[in-house]
Amino acid sequence: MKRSIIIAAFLAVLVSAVPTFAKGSQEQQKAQEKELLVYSIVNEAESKLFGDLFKEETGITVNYLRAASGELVNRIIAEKDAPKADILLGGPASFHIQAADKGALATYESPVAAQFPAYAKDPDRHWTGFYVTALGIGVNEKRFKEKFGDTPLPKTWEDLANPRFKGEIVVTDPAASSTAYLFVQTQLQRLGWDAGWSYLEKLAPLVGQFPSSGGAPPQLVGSGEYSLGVAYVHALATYREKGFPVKLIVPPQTAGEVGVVSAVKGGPNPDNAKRFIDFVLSQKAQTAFAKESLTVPLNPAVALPPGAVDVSSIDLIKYDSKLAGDQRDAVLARWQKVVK
Amino acid sequence: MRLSRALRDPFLVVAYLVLVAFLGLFVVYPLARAALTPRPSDWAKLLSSPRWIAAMEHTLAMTVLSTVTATAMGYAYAYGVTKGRVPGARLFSLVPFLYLVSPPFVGGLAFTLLLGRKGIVTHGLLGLDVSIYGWGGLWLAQTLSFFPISFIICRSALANLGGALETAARGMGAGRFRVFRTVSLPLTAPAIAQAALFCALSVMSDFGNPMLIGGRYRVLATEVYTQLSGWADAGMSAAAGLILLAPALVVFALQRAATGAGERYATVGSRGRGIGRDDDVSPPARLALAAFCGIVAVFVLAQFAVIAYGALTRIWSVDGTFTLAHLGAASKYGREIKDSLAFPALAASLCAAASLASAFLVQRCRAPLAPVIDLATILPAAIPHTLVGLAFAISFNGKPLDLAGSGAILVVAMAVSYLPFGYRAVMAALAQVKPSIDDAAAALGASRSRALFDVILPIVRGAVAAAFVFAFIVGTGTMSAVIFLVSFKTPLASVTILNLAEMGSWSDAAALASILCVLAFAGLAAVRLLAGRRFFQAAFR
Repeated sequence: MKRSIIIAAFLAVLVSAVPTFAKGSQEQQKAQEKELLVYSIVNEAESKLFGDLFKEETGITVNYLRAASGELVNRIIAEKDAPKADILLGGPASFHIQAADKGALATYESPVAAQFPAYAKDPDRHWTGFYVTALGIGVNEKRFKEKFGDTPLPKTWEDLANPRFKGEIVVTDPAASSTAYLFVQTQLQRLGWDAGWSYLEKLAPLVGQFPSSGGAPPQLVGSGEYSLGVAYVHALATYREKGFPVKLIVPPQTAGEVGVVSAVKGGPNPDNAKRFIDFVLSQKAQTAFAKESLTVPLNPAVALPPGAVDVSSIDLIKYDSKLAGDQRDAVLARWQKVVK
Repeated sequence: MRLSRALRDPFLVVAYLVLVAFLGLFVVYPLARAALTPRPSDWAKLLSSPRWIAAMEHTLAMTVLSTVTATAMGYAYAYGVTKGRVPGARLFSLVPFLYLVSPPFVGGLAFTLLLGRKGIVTHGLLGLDVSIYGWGGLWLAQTLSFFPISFIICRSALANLGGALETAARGMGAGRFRVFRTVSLPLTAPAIAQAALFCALSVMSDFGNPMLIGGRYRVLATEVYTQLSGWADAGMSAAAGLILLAPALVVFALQRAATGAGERYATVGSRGRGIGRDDDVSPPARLALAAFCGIVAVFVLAQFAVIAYGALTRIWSVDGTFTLAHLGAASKYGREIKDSLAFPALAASLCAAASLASAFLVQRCRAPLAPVIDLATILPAAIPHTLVGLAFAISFNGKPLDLAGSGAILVVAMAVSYLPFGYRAVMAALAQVKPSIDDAAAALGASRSRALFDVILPIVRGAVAAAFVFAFIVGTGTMSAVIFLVSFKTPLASVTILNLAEMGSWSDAAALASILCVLAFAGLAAVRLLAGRRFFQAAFR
């Protein structure tokens, strides 16, 4: 009696599992015209915003999957022979180039981007930029005051390397994240190789920790665990807007990042993908996105949202991303010794 | 000839073939594919760079430290609620399960809010400005995170002891501590070794705590995630995960050597079971155990209180105004929540069935290839769950089996990830059952499968239920096993929690985590009602 109940229970579970197992293939066949599949590197709220607006405008439903940039690029490369997504949305061009080099991205030149600055457009036509952000310093003013009294807030990268700040700084680990690598490269490029390394050697012992995720410094500074953190200004601004006591400082000679969008080669809905790229670059979407993300829009017709930091007012270095890529192994190897 | 007898039973033959196919397809094949992913240059870099060598040393040191403390803590806690008969033992037994469901990141944040530089305990109560970030904080976090595993294993062993041998020892004039040292402790040694094995494997492969609390102290498991998420470098990621196999196999072999094959420890089926006395511990010892359990429970509950507080206030850690807005925002993720309960439930059933089948076939039937099945079943414990996910993503994308984007791949990945625990739990329970019981069933004419269902299963049902509960609870909150496998059609709440946390919406993340946690326990209560109280009680006893 009991035995049959147990067997029946297990059978019931297995039978109930069958639809789940069949799900994948069924739903692939069902792929309809009114659908778009987006791999999204921009954050949860921003992904949803794009999806809702696009649906409103075109009637096309956007399904998005949000994850870290490296992971999504890796997925697109792995799925190259049977693409599961239409769009890769957000993240720096370097990641999109990684996918393009493996032949996983389509080419598309959006007519909407005609007026965009040249640096926002890929010479090989794989990607188009839709926002700009830059590296900055976040300060938890409350903790800073408690710790350092009337010491003035750091204004430059040099100010940040003040020995008084020992143990109060967070910087993302360049070996774990490409955005943190941007910080290290910025120092090397603006000061030159030798002076750059002596700056980093001075700064590294002051850093309390090197978290792996780019989202960590704003959070650790926002919640008052540390006084100072290096992060993207838009990420810091988002925390400030949420009510965390974060003050934003953009030092001179910083580096910027252009966030880009691209279409996946052979994706299930290629026409919708083109419409979506046009939409992302449009005045309407750019206005809404800039307001939500506090990044700087690239569509020249869009005004800068309140609270955002104007990148044109920022002193940007001329960042050589090819050099940065070529030096990666050497820089990271030397970095290990500096951090030790 | 036990072998031929087992093979004459058609049910067991089918079960055997299904099991072998399952292990081959979902354990051996994906791992082999993952093993081929790193380029030779990745291995060279891994074995020569000081960063990686430091990460290996840290992993080793942290594993040894945390294993000792987590195992001891779990044993002491289990001793308290069983032999120690501390007041409120049933409630105390629930607390470690609560800890298992705490989703990564939110749990870690709660930990920093309690013990961080601005922590409620460290800064608020003690007025300290200390940093938990580093090996010390990580050690504490790992001990707390994995003591529940040791607790679950040790508790069932302690509860199964009966008490006849202790009673006899006391009767011969031995003192309470001497009885503990010479009778209870040696009899539960296999469980302790087992608990140590699982704590070691879990500490080695955990990446959430090191990422949040490790500070500058880096370990290998974090690298598996960050090399892929931060640099899209699947080769380095897989290499970092695979290198963990070596120490894992050593730990596995050590545990084997320490335990040996064990009729020595069999207590179920011994005569005199159930003749126990209720004064195994002296009143002062009982008080100490109660205080110990109390402190642990208070800390675990405090962490949940902090999460609930975060979910119900405007800005976590900044603005304490009460609000329901975050719960409202979180409840919009209905599909994510549904999937986060349904998939682990399926995975847990699969895991429990496979654990029972595997343990019975390996230990009782001397089935062909038994050592290989044993190793394949335990193998997933030795590698970070992130690597299990990565291996699945690499292996089941396109030919010969395309599962990418389906719910099945999530269910199977979870089942495989938690299989070692369920399997070992059932194995441990079986080890306590004397083979003479099987022989008695056979002598009375029962087939092997009848003996399994009518004799063995009722005795080991606690372990099978524990396998289910463990897989379900851990699966609900997991991120590591699934992060590379979620798709458009199969979103999971744990991944959404991470996304919300990453954009600074900590309160929404806490709200979603709270909803998930409450529903997971409601789900367990429902299963308990359906499956019957007796079947289930054993897991929570």
